[in-house]
Amino acid sequence: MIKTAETPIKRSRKFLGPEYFRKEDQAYHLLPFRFMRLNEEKEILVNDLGEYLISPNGTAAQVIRKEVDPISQETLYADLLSGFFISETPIPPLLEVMATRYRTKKSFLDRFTSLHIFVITLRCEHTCHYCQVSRVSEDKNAFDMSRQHIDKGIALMMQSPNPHLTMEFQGGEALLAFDNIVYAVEQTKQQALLHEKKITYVICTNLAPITETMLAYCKDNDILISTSLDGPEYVHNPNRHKKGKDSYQLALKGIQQCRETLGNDQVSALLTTSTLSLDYPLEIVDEYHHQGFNSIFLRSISPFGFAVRNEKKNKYDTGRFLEFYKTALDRIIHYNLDGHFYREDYATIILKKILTPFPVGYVDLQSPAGIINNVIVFNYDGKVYASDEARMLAEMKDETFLLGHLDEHRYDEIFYGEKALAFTAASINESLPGCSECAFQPYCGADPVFNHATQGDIYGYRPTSAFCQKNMEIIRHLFLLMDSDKRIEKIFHSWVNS
Amino acid sequence: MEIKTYPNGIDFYPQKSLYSQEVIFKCIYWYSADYEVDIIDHAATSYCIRFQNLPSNIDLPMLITKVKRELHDFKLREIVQQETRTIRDLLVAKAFAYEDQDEITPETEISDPVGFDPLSVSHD
Repeated sequence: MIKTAETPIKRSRKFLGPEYFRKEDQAYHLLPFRFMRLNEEKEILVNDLGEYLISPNGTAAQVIRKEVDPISQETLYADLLSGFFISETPIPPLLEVMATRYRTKKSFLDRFTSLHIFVITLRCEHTCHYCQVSRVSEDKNAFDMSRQHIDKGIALMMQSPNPHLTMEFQGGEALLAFDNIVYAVEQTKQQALLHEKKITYVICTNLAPITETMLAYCKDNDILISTSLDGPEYVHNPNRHKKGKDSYQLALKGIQQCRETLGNDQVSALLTTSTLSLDYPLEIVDEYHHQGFNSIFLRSISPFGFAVRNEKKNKYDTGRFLEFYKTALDRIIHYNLDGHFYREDYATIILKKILTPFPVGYVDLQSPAGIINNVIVFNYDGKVYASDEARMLAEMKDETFLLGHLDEHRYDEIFYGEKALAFTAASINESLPGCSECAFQPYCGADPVFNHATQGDIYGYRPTSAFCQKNMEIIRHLFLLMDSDKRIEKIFHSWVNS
Repeated sequence: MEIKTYPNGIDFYPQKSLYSQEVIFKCIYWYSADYEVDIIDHAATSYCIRFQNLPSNIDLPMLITKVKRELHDFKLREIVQQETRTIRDLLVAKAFAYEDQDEITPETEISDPVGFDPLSVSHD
């Protein structure tokens, strides 16, 4: 057809190329982000929303100098735009979305304290060399929580604004005071109805004293069991010393009983990594798998209480722990590559922060840290501490994190008092020296109790901080693993979404 | 950047016109555990970063490269911080401005490249 002046031009409905939409000399604007080198080849850009971009070294400098060309570097430019690292307008058009995502990352603050730890007794029949607090004693009056203190603890717990509460019974060996646990649960059930709270009950136990009666009560009341398994017998028993040297057998028997009565998902096991454990990363991972667990929490030992007092046995350097961690993680990944679902929990906490928009309620990896606003401890003697580690520190005669006493202080004096405010100020990594510029800040946290215990200062000193060294290296390692092998990234996604 | 070496020590002289005091302190913070290091207001135009009592087996070229690279990185971080301070404040303020509301509905402009306005579509 011959086009004439009257012939309408046929308009294409195809998308036009990016050059059509680009204005002449349009420079982009930076949005807040941090960056750091992952290794000699790669660096990472991270923003406050937790978005990240792994790219060749020098990319951040290029972005900041505004030298990224939207045409010749179309993919990078699009990644920077969609990841909220740059904006084409001074105020980003999706600022409201960014604000919502930032708020979501901090939504663990919305409902305040959920985990209430009741140290129901200090008595224990084990004498673990790394245990911070336990006492081998028959004296119930000296080391069991009184009914009066249980009542006062429950009353304070009911004042938490959080509608979902976890009541965790710890020891010593909590089951040695099972009558007190029953009393506490029965009282709480009544109070929860009155205050419209939903309660999750957890008993932390080595399972040695468990009986059918106890299991039946746990089943009737949906009580979860958290136990300890340190690895194979030749690691577990030396770690968890007990007369008769049968801790391992009793733990396995108890786990089996719990699974049969309560169900597989109602019992979990925690690993404590002693100096001895560091020599057996593969054997420990294999042991958990053989015992039917599909997850393991590779925890480093706390530098508190008897754990540091027994220096020769437990004060290993962070470098050794990281070597242990990476070897064990590698083994776990291979289980997954072979078709088994097997998750490492510490990595999963960090990966949830990296791969999802949501926060994770883990005390040490939050900013502000989870002490007080996530967890509180009512000790057997009525003293109230900012965290479990804080009460362990108190066993070393250091009462820095003592917030009050159940007999003497009101809710507001404990949770919003001067001490609580001072600890909170030191627990925001956005404003801590060394953390404020760190690219891993949105994935990490702050731990004033650890800082105080190891460095004598609640704010801490990052260049020598074991907390910083451990978390920086684990986060870096996880990113490099994901970047090196897409199969590993897929496995990590399966851990996060399970 | 001018650099002077002497037995068991090295001085870096970053120019004040290029590096702020904040950049220098943030950079040197990470060296303060392993080295005896001072920051001196040396002259009108430059600071002096002085590393003293260095071990005899230190890899000096490596230290020089590292300090230079990190000064550069902290300078870049400062540029981001300065340019984005307002947006950052706005972001945090907006994020927590809704704390009394349960649901947040993001409001953004909707556009469509095929040329119709989706808001004009009637749902009657």
